[in-house]
Amino acid sequence: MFRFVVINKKVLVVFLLLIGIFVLLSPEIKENPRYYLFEKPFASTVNLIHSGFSLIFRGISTTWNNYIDLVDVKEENQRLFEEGKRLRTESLSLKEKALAYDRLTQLLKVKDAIHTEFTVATIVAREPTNWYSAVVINRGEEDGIRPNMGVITAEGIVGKITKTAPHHSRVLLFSDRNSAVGGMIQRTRDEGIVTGGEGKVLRLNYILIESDIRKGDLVLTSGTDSVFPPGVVIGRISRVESPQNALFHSIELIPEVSPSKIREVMVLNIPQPPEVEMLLKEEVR
Amino acid sequence: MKSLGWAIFVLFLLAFQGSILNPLVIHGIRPDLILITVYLLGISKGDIQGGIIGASLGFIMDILSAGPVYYNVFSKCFIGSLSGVIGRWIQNPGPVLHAGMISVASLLQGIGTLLILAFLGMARLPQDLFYIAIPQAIFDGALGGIVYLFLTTRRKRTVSRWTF
Repeated sequence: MFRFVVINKKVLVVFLLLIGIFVLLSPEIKENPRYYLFEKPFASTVNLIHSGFSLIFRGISTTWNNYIDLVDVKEENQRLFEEGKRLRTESLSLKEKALAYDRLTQLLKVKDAIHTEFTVATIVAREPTNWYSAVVINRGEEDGIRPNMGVITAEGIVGKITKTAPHHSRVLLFSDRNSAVGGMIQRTRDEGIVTGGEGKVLRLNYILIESDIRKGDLVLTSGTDSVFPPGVVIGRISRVESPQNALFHSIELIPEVSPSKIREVMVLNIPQPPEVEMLLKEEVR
Repeated sequence: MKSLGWAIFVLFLLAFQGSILNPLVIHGIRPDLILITVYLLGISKGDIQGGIIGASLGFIMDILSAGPVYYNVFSKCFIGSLSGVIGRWIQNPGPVLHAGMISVASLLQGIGTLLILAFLGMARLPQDLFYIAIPQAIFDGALGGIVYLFLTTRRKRTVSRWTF
């Protein structure tokens, strides 16, 4: 027997191996929900290696896929970026158009209120120095613009034309120190002269001390200067001082129109009295 | 070709000074870019050329401005000539000195404007001095100093690139 074993050692090993395999892969063990005693070291070792391989493979695969994907993503990203840029530009353009539409609608509403012919113009430049307040508009003599025409927006007065060229004109803003316009307090109907030159504040002059002026009163154009029609908003009274023994109130206004924010304006074509027309023609000459 | 380049530059500068898109505004005060340009050109070109450039630019500025005619012609001409003299007499001036000189030039120009307005009965003192002339002088000086620093740095770089 022993001799048989020694001679057939190889056969025995194969036999034992087969039994071991049969035992390890027996249906009972396979169906056991937990790793069995024999399985554990094999399974753990192999699983560890699997995990390692899997990790490396997944890493390579992910890197490769990411790289491949990134090529597309980069293109996609660029495309979306361009698209976003285009949409932003379009959105801004549409917003600007909507704002311009709103402003022009407001101007048309004013047309019904003032019953005066007018020309719509756009501000193209501003006074280059800090000492004066003026703007340049894109309408000139060829559009029927003449000196001394009033310029307004839907919110209120802007200024008046002081100089004209064939295709553009200079508008002296109401906030300039040289500017003066006939004003009237809406509530009391007191008339005075509104002057500029004090930064953002205007001054209403020649309102008698007996007048009942209050802070917040609205000041409109009186229409006596033949430049602006009556009833166009100038501003609201922000401060009233009534010094002792003075003849007039000292009144400050905050204008309704902010000169730095206006874009489109209306140049009013109010027929001037013949004597004024004559004086203007002489001035132009 | 160089003259054409200068002409285009000056046109752009003048347009920018009065542009509604000019972003260089602090509390409603805009720097006088023409003054800064005239000063810097006067420094590099000398008093005669500085004066001529100043008068030319001042003339165009007077056309564009609602202010009294010829004031900018004389003020800018004076500043151009003055900077030419300064450039000749002061050795190795730095940006701080130039900033100071531009501020003084701007303040002198502002005081000149105030005198004219006072003569016309339209000056509001001291508000005009404190709210327009002095802030503008400071703004002009600061911007002029920065521009000078930028120009000299660029020049040094250009020179060192070709020096062995």
